[in-house]
Amino acid sequence: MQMKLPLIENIIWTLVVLLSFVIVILIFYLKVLRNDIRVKKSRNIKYTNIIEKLLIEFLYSEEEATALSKSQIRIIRHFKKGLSSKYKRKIIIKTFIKLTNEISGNMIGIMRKLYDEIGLLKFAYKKLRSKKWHIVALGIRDIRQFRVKKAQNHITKYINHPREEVRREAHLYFIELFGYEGLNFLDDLELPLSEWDQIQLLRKIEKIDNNEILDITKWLKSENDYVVIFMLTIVKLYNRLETKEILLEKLTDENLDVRLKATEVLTHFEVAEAKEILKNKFDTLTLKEKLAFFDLLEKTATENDSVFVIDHISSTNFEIKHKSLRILKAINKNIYDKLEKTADDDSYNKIIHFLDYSHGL
Amino acid sequence: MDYNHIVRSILVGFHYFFLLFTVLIVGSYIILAFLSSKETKRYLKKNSFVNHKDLISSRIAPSISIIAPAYNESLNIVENVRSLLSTHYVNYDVIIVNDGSKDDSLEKLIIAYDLERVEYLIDYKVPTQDLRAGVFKSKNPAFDKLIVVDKENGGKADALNCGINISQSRYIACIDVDCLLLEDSLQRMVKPFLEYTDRKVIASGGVIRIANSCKIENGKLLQVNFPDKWLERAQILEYLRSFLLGRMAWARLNGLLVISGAFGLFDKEIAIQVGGYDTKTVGEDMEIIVRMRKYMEEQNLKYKVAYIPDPLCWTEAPDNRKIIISQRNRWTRGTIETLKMHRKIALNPKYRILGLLSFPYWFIFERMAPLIEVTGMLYFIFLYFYQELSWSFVVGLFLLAYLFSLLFSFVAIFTEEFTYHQYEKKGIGIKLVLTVFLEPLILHPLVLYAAIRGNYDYYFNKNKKWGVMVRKGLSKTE
Repeated sequence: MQMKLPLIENIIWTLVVLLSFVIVILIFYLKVLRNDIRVKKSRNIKYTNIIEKLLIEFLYSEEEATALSKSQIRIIRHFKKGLSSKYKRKIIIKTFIKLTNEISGNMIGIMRKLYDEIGLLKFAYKKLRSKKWHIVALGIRDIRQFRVKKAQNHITKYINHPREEVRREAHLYFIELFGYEGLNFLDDLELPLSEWDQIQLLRKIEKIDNNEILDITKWLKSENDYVVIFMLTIVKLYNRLETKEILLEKLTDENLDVRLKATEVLTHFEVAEAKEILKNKFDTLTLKEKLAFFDLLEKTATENDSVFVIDHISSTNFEIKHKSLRILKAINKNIYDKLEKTADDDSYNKIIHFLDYSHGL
Repeated sequence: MDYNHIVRSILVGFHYFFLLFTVLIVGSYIILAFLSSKETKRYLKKNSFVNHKDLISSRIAPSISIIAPAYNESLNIVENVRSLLSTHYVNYDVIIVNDGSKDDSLEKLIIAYDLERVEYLIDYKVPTQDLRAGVFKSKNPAFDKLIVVDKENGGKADALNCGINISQSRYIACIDVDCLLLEDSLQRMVKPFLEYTDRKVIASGGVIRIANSCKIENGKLLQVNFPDKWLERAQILEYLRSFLLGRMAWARLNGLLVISGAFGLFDKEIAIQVGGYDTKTVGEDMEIIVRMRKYMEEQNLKYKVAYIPDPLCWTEAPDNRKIIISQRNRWTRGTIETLKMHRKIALNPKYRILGLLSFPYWFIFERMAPLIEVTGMLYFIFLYFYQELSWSFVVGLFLLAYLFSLLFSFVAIFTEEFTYHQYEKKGIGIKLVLTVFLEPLILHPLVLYAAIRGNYDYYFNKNKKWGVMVRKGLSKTE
């Protein structure tokens, strides 16, 4: 009684034959592909070296004469010829960007002029018209790297682009090219600024030569909470204490993240008024706010805060308990010394031991 | 209905069951391969113009603690710590938790890094074993990022929990101390946490690559080589399939259930909220992810478990059968424990993709697959003895399964070639092809045996714990 399932067996064996065939093809394709990758890599290196050499030759001959020399004209012609091939164009752009980041002074200006001269800018604008978001982002990056200020109106359109990568490039463009003035894009920003965005923007802001930062109060009052948080970071890093009144207002903001950031900034400035505001509404604060408040208290507490602090040395939260005891020891050593050194609470004993026998870590 | 007819109906039923299972598993792999290719493309596009270096010197880069448990790692501990201290990131520390080692790991660290015992106030947010010699820091400012904790032995999960308690950072990178991290690994791993504004990233995992035979000097990977041993080669292929196809696809669906214990970055707050690592399971890396996800689902919070396909973490794979079997046995028990512990998630619509897709998939295709495979083999043996076997059907089915496994290995290799192309040396191509053909015959039987042993040990040998992993040390290989 042997079972026969002819239809299924037929399907199975057809698939076996088909897959065997596919696998044979894949083996050959793998061979071709690996070879192709190797060849492409060495061709890339070779062509990049040529472009680098030509660029350096161009840059150094530019220093010597005002009009374009024969060799420079030849180099421009070479580049222009290369642009017709997508593969070569990619390498040319990559090398241009790489070299621009490595050179300084007058040479950067020459590079930018050359970028425009050979028609790369035209390709950057073309990228902006692409339907693919990453091509648009690359277009903005190229325009930013070569500091094309006249593209400002084009780039404005991307401030609120739905893809964060595209709008990030647009934001970086404004700051890199227009310095603090470029921050005005924040007026129009309706979408979030992630932490990653903020890190990138701050890196660009740090590179701005002009020390005179714009009036940032309008952004501290922005309806976009992400803009407010970003500005609070700037207030802290650039010590903009003149915004203190707004910072104090932010302690009652609806957004928890804004309140926390404002507390952190006020702690940095050691603003005693903030302590009073938060102390009065301590019971309504979230745990994170309470912890942030105790950080503020560590910097601003006086002997007058002893009672408040003592109220919290038996808190159920380890960190609050630790901070309270530490603050008490700092502001009122007499009372601290009179505290029981051992209790039923293990964590209390541990903290006391730590405060008494270590210099704190 | 006569006896023969009943038997025949049962046998036909079995035939269709095995066929259906094969179709389902192959179908799911095709879908995963498709999703993974989409996700890989998306990742590469997204990161093609990202400058991760901005994080190196940023004044607002979030803090990260690298937590590395060590148990009897004396052989390589000094070099391994040096490698961890060479990470390119601005705001991080390295916490080495010496988990009751019986060797001279601590003494070696004290001498090499000029350590001294310090008072350290620890908030035991997650319960762990007591400290043994205490907490050590270096007197040399060059090593001020290093914290060494010496504690009573409690296992890997317990040591990680101790590191969580010690850490003052926002994120924790839990790694195996013998892993080799590339210099920019933290920059890349932390990026997803900083990118999302509409959801909280609770963890991110990376690809684990096998470093056997690679050239490594002073904790740095200098050259990627392909090992000579077939067992190591087979594992390379298996890892490529698992990390570049499987996990990438699950990341696309936001359905990742596991982040390798060798290297993962976690939001510390959430890790503490859920109680840290479970010390009772041997699959703590999978269990914590399931628990964190479950917590987020129950709190109705939007979240993501991110995945980075860049080759950031290189580790030593076992090179002998005994250790592979022990390792896979543990993985099997870990999977069973986690799935059992969180069984209420299964098919529960409250847990959305976690309950309706990830969990059932893991149950059927990870937990049950080895059992079904062995049952299938036994069934065919049974048929052979009762002369019921249609050889054409059996041979066809086995060949089909074999060919599909080759096909997916090729897809993984092509993904690797199109993306990272790590095995670029001439001649490795043919070795890869041979490995593709031999892996199902060399490694798969071992993995299958280990899985069955894992099931047996789980039910009948409850005292079995981690097993031994003997390491040769990466710095010695070339």
